Amino acid sequence: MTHQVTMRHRLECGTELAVLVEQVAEAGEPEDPRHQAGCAYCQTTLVRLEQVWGVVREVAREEPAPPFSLVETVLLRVRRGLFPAVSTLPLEQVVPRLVHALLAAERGTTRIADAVVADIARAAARRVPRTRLLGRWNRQLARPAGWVSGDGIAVEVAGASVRITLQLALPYGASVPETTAAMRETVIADVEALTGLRVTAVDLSVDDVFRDEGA
Amino acid sequence: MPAVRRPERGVPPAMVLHTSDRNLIAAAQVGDLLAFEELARRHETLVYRVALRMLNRPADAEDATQDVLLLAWQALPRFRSESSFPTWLYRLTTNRCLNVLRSRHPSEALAEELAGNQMTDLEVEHALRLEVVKAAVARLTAEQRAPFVLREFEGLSYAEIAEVLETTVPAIKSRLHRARGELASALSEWI
Repeated sequence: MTHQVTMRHRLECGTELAVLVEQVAEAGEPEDPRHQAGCAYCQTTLVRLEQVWGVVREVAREEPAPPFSLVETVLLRVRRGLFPAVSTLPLEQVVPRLVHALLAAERGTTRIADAVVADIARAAARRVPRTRLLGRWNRQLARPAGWVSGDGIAVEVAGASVRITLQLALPYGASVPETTAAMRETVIADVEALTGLRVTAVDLSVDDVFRDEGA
Repeated sequence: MPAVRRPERGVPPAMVLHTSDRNLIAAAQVGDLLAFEELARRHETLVYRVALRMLNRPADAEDATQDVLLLAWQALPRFRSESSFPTWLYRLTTNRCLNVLRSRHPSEALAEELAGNQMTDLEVEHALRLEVVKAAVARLTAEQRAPFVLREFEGLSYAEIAEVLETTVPAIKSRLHRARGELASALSEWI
């Protein structure tokens, strides 16, 4: 508070101190060059402020180096899915990522991690005959918000709803509508039965074909 | 830069090193961790520097830098080149630091104040002066500190700072004006 009073303070010549601070900080031209050139008050204050800002500029020239292994730690955390806690995320609109589905119960709530939903969906998808889940996310496709694991499966949870995306390979000759319908049905049934969540959509992307030796 | 780089997928490291940020961003947006690694290496210093100036504690700055880079990885698919990549990183960093400052206990702020005053015990006068400036910056309010760090230490223009902090140029000017005033009166006793 006292500082603000100081800043509104004028020098004995009538010049506002704040004006001189701006002049020094921005290395700008004086507002009243003729007055300043001949004014001892202004000159004394300017010398003092230049000293102060000289040190500020020295700090600016420092190049503090981040710890050597910082990026390695970050990559490790990416691989393990260890992200900052949602509650402390800055600007949640920048990263609207929900990692848990929420189910309200009579006494309390149940949280189900998107990775758990992904595991259930993956197990269900593998039970559908003559289909394969892609082993890794297809890089031609944008990684959706709910991408939680290394393979071709993404889960987006919001409250008690969940949306699942799967990337598939089908055997050459299989009917895409029939196979995908079976896949959709199995995944929805399993996830809904085991988690109690509502599956709003299962999006399927057929990205590869393979020769089915058994057929 | 470490001598050994782990190839993640596809692109050989030698190619990555000569790729523009724009290409790396595009690859990282679709999940290329190697591209992200290179981006993180290119920009970790910027993030760490701002975090250190904002938080004035190396351990906190390191934590914040990690969180910002993780956040960048998560948010990259939504990054549009309306703002430049560094501007976007400045925004993530200042937001993260402002959150850290907000969550700091009031007694910690007091400890910071005391730490600032104890600097008189340092023997090297040059180091002392720099420390006094850093401590004085750390005592600015969070609202004043962000524009001050971005202007005085990072050299951003008023327009860039307004974009980073998502406000207007006049608002930045007035916050900066107050910050400089605070700093000038706090420092004129010391320097």
